[in-house]
Amino acid sequence: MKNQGKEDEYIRQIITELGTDEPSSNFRRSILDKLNQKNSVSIYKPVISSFTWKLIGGSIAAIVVIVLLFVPFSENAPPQLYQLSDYAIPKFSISFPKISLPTLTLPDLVGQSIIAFCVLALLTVVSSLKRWKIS
Amino acid sequence: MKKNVTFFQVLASNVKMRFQEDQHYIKKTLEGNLNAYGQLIQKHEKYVYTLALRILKNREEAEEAAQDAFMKAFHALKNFEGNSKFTTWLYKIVYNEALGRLRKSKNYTIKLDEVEVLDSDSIDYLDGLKSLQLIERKELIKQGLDALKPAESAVLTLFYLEEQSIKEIEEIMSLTSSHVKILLHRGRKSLLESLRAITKSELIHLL
Repeated sequence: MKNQGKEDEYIRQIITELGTDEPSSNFRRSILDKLNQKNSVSIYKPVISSFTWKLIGGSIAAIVVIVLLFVPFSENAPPQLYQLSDYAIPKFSISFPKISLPTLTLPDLVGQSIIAFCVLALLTVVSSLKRWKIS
Repeated sequence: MKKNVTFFQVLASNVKMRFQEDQHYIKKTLEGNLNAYGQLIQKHEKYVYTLALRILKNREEAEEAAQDAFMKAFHALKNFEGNSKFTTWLYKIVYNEALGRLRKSKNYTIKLDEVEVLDSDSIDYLDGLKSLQLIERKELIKQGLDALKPAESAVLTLFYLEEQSIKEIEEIMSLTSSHVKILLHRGRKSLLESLRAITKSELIHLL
C-alpha cells in the first residue's frame, strides 16, 4: 500500500514535470479561419432578392393590364378601355329569408340562472384581467 | 491524501488565471463572438493537444485531431448544458476524435488483460532518472509515455496532468469506474516498467 502511494506520487511528479506539449503557432488561427469560412458559407443569400421578385411581379402585372386595356383585340377595334362603358354590369338581387324568432316563455328559475351565470362570467373576466395586469 | 504542488502545476494555474471562467467565453461565443471562442481555444489548446498526442503519438495527427475536436465543440456548444465541467465535455470530444482516428488507422480495442505485476522494489530502479538533466529526463519520460497503450497513456494524462477525477474520466472515456481504475493501475505499472527499461539502458549507455 505504501509502495503504491510512492508509485502514485512518483508518476504524478514525472507527468507534471513533463507538462503539456505545444501545438504549432498557427493552430488557433487555422481553426478560426475554418470556422469563419463555414459561417460565411452557411449564410443563405438568394440570387434574386425579394424586392427584385416584387418588381418583376409588378412589371408582369402592369404589362398584362396594359395589354388588356390599351391594346385592341383586332385591327379596327378600339381598345378595351373605351369599351368598358358598353359592358352591362349584371344586377344581383339577393332576397334574405324572413326569420321570425320564436317566442319563448321561460320559468323564473331559468331567468335567474341566466342572470347568475352572467354575473359569475363577468367576475371571472374581471379577475382574469386583474391577474394579467399584475403579472 | 497529501498532494505536493509542483512548479509546473503552479505555472499551469498561473497561465489559466490570465483567462476568465469558461462560461464567460461560452456565453459570448453563443452570442456570435468568434474571438471569444478563440480565447477559449487559447485557454485549453495545450491540454487538448497533449491529450490527443498521448493517444495518437504523432504530432501532425494530434494537431489535426485537436483542431477537429475544437470545430466539433464549437458546433455543439449550444448543446452544452453545463451539467459537467466544460473541460470534461471538451476532453470527451477530443478523446473520441483521437480514438476514431486510431480506429481508422488500426484495429484498436481497450483490453483489460495482461496486467503485469511489477517487483515491489521496482521504483528504486528509477532513481537513475533523477541523476539526469531536466531536458534528458523529459525526453526519457516522453519515450516512456510513448511506449504505453493509447488508453493507458490517456488515462494517466487525464488523471495526473489534467487533474480529472475518476468520475470525470468515466464520463470522458465512457467506461465504468472499475474499468478506469484498472486502466490507471495498469498505466502506472506499464509506465514504471518502460521507464525502468529505458533508464537502465540509458545509464548503461552513459557509462
